[in-house]
Amino acid sequence: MTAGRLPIEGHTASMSIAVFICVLSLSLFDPLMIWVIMLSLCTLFVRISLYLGWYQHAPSQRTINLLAILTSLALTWFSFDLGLLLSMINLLVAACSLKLITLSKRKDFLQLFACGLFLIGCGFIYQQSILSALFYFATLLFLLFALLSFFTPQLAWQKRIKIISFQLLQALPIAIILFLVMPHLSPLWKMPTSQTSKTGLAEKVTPGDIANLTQSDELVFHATFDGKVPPRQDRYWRALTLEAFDGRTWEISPHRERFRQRNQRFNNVFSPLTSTPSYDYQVIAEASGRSWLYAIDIAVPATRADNEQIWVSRDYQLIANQPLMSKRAYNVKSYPAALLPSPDLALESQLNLMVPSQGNEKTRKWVTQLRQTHPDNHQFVAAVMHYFAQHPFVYTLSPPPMRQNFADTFLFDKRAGFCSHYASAMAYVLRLAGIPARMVTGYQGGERFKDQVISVYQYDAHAWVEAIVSDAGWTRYDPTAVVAPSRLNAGLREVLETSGELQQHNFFSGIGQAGVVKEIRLIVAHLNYFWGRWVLGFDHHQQVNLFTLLFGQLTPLKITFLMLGCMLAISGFLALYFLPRWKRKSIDPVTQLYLRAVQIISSAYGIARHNQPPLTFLQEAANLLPDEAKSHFYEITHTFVAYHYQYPPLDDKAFNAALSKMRKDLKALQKKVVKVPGTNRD
Amino acid sequence: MLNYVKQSWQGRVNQWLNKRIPAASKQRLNLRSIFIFPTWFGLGYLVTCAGLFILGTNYQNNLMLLLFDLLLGLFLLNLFASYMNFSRLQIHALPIQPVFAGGHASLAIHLQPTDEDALAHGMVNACWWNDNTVQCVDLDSGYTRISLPYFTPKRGIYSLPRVTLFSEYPFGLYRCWTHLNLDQHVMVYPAPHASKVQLQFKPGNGEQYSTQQEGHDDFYALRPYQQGEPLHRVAWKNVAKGGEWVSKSFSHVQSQAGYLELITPCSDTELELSRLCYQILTLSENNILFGLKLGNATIEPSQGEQHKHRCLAALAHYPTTGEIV
Repeated sequence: MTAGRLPIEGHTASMSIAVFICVLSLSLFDPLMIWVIMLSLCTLFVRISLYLGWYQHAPSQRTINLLAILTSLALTWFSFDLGLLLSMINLLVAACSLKLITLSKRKDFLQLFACGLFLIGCGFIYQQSILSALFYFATLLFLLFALLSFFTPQLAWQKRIKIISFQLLQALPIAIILFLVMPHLSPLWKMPTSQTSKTGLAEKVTPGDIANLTQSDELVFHATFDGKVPPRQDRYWRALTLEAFDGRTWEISPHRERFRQRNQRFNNVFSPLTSTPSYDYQVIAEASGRSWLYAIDIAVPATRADNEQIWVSRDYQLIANQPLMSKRAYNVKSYPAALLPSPDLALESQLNLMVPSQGNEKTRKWVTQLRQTHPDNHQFVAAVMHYFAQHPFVYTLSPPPMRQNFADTFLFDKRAGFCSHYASAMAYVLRLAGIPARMVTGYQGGERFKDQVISVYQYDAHAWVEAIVSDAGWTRYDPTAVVAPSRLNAGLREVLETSGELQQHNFFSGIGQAGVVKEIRLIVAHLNYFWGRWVLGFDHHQQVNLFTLLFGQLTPLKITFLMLGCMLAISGFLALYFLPRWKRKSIDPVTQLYLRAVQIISSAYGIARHNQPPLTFLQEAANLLPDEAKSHFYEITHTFVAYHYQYPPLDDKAFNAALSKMRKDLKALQKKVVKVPGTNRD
Repeated sequence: MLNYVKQSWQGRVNQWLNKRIPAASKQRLNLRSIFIFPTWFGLGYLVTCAGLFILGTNYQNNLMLLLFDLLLGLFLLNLFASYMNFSRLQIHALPIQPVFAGGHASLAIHLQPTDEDALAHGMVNACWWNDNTVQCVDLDSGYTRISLPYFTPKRGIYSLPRVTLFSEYPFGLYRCWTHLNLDQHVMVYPAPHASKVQLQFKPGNGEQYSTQQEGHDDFYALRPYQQGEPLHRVAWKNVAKGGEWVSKSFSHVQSQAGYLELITPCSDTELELSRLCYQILTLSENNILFGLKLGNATIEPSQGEQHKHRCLAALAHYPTTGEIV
């Protein structure tokens, strides 16, 4: 083995590591390109053939080098599309696969093992649910199995599994202590991220184009409130403000983006004016691959750590400095207000009045007329809302397509759509009337998951309008609320149920069910919540909270003690596992019982057994013992003798029976002996 | 200069080892005799862990951090697991057979568990200290013996160098090793060098004469083979013809036993000793009584395997060259 060359046929270790890499590359189906997965499957096939002895020799180095050149060319070609992270993962898997084919040296194997560990880490970038965590830890077990097979080629596989499971179990408490105590640092540097196509809010909203809502019952975030929970209709979770409108599509204004970047560069922090009543809550957001966060109305990060990580922009968006590649917890203080002060009124007004000069003639005419009758901004907005309320608008998730002149078609012809249709049409109308308006997307409502916990799903996605009606700032208007009030009061489900649309949308399938399935789903949801809050979302803030809870106010002295304590605990665990146990004298139970009986008799009657054979002692004791005690002691002695000298020896069942009988006899003997009066003990 | 430093360092290490792990033919591995250090692979593993930590921190990915912690815990644990496994071994050296110069002595090491309930697993590798020809044995295969060949170019008595045993069980993260002095001495007989047999006869009256011994023995008669007689006496020609099993009996020409003698002074003692060795071997093969005179030492005439080895041992012990013990 040390000589370096590994056996090929029947070599369990290399076979196992091949299976491992193949399984892992399949589990990384999303980030990997299909041909990379194919490559790893081919590798597995090669390894199987070698293992079974169909081929005697691994393919030559030259063949593999050729393949490697092709692979790297292909990867370079695709890397422009894929971005750094994805190319790296693809490269890693492809390199592992190729190495696996030529695997013939000790060094190669050990390198593959290290790469395997890294691959598991990469898996966690993409999947973090409980199940996938379990899956990846199982693959870790398998990887260790391969490594152990490498070093103990002749050990039975059951024994190997046992050794590894035992070691992992022993390592677990140490890992947990380390996890709790090791500092959870903020990112050391910016890492490449990949653009994954997650469902969720988009940076562009084109109401006319979306014929079907593609969103799902995926969880977006949990919010855990300290104290009061705002009522459902006030829970407007803002995420994005879309200020650029080209007649069809709303998107983030490039001007806004530029301002923000400049402010960030000069660290020109925006602190919104805030009023007294506020909600404190922690949001655990699922991975979205984007950097915007969710919060109610005027929100500011609650802790210093969050302040460093989150940028509050002047349009009241919270923007994380890293895209959410994994679950992320942050603490926010929200000041509920339907009116958000405008930090830069003139500029924002200008930005939010731009409309295309052409199109939607009908709407333009209608707006001009309406504006003449309602010169006051408040009145005008009220009139628009009134229009939505008065006419037969329908709230539906499958509106007819409206490609040309969206506003005309929607307002006067089809009159059916969902929130983004209403918001888009209203904002457009306000802009035509000279009132600065923008579309805000985010989530509305959310289910009450526990007493203090609100969970928000993708289907809670919502869009509404903010307009500068007076100089005070942005006022929120929600045309959907006029058309379908129950959307706000009871949620989307309620709306769909009344409109009979529910059957078409299977994303509610999980909620409507009753009985056991519902119970199980609830348990799973709770587990997920726990997992997200305490495992995935366990950050520096929670760490400090936990320690404060356990040890009171943290002082440097206490922290020192804590660290020392943890080191002690870890060494304690190690000592527990490995210090030689106090070896109890390994006397078998039968002999123990016999010796007890002898001791009882000796102390009661003052006769010592010394080294007498058991049967001789029995005779001696028989003269002194009362009848019943005599028969018990007879039994005990004979069982003892049979146990030691009888051939064939007792099997397990007979042994257990004899043992229990002996115990009973001993108890009886003890009673009988003690009852005897006038013992001559000396 | 460098050589000198190297040598004095080696001497120091030797001294320290002699104190720490004294010589014994049977040894249990314990805290004093086991050394342990991460292997290159172990260090690479740590680097991988560090990579996972950085990745986990930068992506704020707690599962990666958990993986890192688990792997770190495993690394710590392995320090002990590796040591425990190795310390379950009990090593004892089997008696070593004498060899002729120019051959290989073979030290057989027997690895036993100290406790039948707690068996050691994995591969155990053995080599001579500061040598890199490694022999290995898989403890799980049930075969627990390692033979280490030791080249012996010259006659004499040599004490064998320390044996290095090492194991990388379970994950190759650590290497446990020990340098054991198993207190074994190998006796190296001179290499036989063909020569005429020269027995010196010493008659009772003190006169010395020597005889040329042609064919050393004369054929005397055939007699029926008796069970237990040495097979080389069987007259195979007769048996091959289909005849009875008969054995040859010989008559000794000389009634007196002769002595092999080292004539001193001589030009090349080693060559003479080699010749004597050859003669001892031939005489023993033919069951001739002979004695040996080497300087002051005299071995009385006798015959048989034991006698042969006694004589050869005397040759090996003869001073002037080799290491004298």
